[in-house]
Amino acid sequence: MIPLAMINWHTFFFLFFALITCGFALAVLFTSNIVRMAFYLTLCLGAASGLFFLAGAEFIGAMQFMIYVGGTLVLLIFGVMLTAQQRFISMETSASEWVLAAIVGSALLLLLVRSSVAVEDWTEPRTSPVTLADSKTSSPIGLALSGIRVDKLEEENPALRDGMSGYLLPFVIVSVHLLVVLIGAGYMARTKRRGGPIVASRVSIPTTERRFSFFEKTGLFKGMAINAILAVLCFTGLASKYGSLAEGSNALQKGLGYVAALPPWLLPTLGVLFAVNVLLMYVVFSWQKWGVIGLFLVPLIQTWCLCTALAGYESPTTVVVPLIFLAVTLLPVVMLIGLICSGRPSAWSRME
Amino acid sequence: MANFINSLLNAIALTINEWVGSTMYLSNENAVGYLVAAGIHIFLLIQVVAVGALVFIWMERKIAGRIQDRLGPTRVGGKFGWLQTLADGIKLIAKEDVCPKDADPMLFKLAPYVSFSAGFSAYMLLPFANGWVAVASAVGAFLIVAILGLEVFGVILAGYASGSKWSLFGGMREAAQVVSYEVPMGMCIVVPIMICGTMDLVTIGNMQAGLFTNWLVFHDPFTFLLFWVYFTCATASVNRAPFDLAEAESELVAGFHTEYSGLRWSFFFMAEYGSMFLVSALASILFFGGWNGPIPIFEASGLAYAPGEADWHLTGFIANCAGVVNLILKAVLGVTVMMWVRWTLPRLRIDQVMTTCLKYCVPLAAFCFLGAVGWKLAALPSFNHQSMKADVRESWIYQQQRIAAEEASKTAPATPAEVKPVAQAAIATPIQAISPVATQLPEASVSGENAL
Repeated sequence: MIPLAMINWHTFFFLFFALITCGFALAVLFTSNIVRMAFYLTLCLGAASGLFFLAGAEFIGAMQFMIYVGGTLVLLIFGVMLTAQQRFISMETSASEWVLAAIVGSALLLLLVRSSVAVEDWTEPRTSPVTLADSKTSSPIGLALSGIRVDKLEEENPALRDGMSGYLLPFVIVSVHLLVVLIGAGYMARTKRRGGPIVASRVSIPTTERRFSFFEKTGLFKGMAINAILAVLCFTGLASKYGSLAEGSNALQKGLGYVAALPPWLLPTLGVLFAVNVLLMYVVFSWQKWGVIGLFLVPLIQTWCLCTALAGYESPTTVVVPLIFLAVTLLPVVMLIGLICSGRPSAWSRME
Repeated sequence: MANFINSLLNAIALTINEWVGSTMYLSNENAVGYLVAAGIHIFLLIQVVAVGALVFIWMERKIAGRIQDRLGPTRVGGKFGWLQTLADGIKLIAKEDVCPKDADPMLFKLAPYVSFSAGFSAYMLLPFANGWVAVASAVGAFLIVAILGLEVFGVILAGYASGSKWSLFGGMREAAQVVSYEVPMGMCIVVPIMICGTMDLVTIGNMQAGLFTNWLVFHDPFTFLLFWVYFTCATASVNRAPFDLAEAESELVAGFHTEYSGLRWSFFFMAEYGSMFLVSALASILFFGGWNGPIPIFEASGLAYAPGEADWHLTGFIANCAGVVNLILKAVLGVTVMMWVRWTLPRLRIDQVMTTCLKYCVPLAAFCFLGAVGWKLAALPSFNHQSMKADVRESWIYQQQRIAAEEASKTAPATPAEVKPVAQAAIATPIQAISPVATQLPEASVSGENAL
């Protein structure tokens, strides 16, 4: 009985799980059979979740089980068994791959070690023992995900208290992102199985023969640039209006000041235009000739917006900026019309 | 339980001290108690799985016989063929353990244990009565689903490692099926969690105490519908007919366990029957009141343990034993229905299995989920009477309460009785603090920070 009482069981189990994790991680490295690798990876990740349980983080441990051990590995095995050819079933790594992997791996390891040492709280052993009540974290986590930080109710700093609204937004963003991935995966799988009527009906030119002319490149570049500008404007505007960019260089401050001085309706309008642009790309792609109208209309609306927005400033920018903008945006359209009139093959006819 | 064993051991040690004159002392946190408690838990749970499998296999034979208008086993062990499974077991032990030439020997040999240990580990989190659970986890329901999902891993490994095309087909089908059916099953489990506001299975069970109208299946029409979706998905996820595509003996010889024989083969069956019982027990906790009988004899007479009560008393113990009987009866009923379905319905094709999941179960589960959320949100009437719920709290609050009381008694050992109510009062406020009403938060902030 006395030897049992003398063992520090926390340390014992920590070492136990840590050894399993590291041992099977090494086993993953040194196995050439890919299914065995997956099996070792399961044990490795499972032992990692054991470490979480040991630390009292039950919810994280369960998450580790559900997402990594359960989901990822089943999918991994799925992928392996569906796609693996003989070459992958027993992989032989060449020397160059070893060198590359060693460099990448050691760099990541260095980063991890550095960052784990950098946290001051972690360098000294925790003085107060972990009580069991610390481990019941699922309700606070759940509440934090739905927007209430019950663990930070006494925050004094008002700037920080605004940030205490929990993790609702990241949670929603991640879930929408996953939904998009899910739908995309389903779409891709269905397209492939049908022999790709959706893709094939529109672009019949093989990839190797497809070359973009100068005008097409210009058009593409223009579209991307305009949309990028719109996006940047939207985000900086939103950031300066609602965010807390208290510090920053003078130029940035000045720029943000300009943006903040813009009328309030401008940003939503730009956002809508951004969406319209995306829609326009689809229209051009599907019903080519109608795209011309859009290509005319959207820059005009944009210019009009800019003119109205800049009306408050007394500098020459009031006139010059919208004009340059108009010229740049209309240039490709003029070129395209010229192309259509001259009868040379346009981007659309080639697409058709 | 560990504390109880330690105090028992300590009492023994003190008695010995009196006789011999030594000075032995065991604290409540001694490792011995934890090890003995873990041993007892594991022993009891293995009994549930192994004896359960023995009984269920016999039961399956009898039920199959009756449904097919014959008697089933009648001779081994007396009148009803009680010992048929035992005879089977002896036969299986005597069989040769063969490993095919093309197999991956290590994975082939490990796969049954992977399957079995996944099914068995989930039992650790399954409460059998109020507070009778091996691992009382605040995320019990979630963890059970996570661990049960690993069972498919053993089947896939078996399918791959056998080096046989029948096994591989079986394994692939199983993987596709289980991965798909986990989606609606997860949705179904979310609804009771949402209604009770906790993932702690003990608390979910306690919240359904009282008359059988308190059971969550009668909470609203959506949960009633949802239970059937859950049961369908559970049947599919434990790979039972009509969803036993992985086995499909008329198409794939024996599916993923074609190459297995002897004891390893029987491990797959223990895993299957174990998880059948597990998902049925989970259904009875989530939807059918768990260990609470239809008429609350013990609760009404005040004999049962109050939720979260730590002190031992005999009537509470008896009430808990009755609770175990209740839970096992409900779970066995579920298993019986699964067998009934198996011997009544023909096996589905793989595309029909997928259609059932993706076109019926998922939309139905989503619809019921929305409906139940709406019902809860609109505070529409339901049979569950709310007075019971005020008493029920999450286990972590109890834990906190216990620790606070212990610390209070440590600091002031002379007057523990006076300190305890203060600690309880301090703990009662976090209920308001965690209720998702933002306006209550500032008032509760002071005590909330202390408790959390």
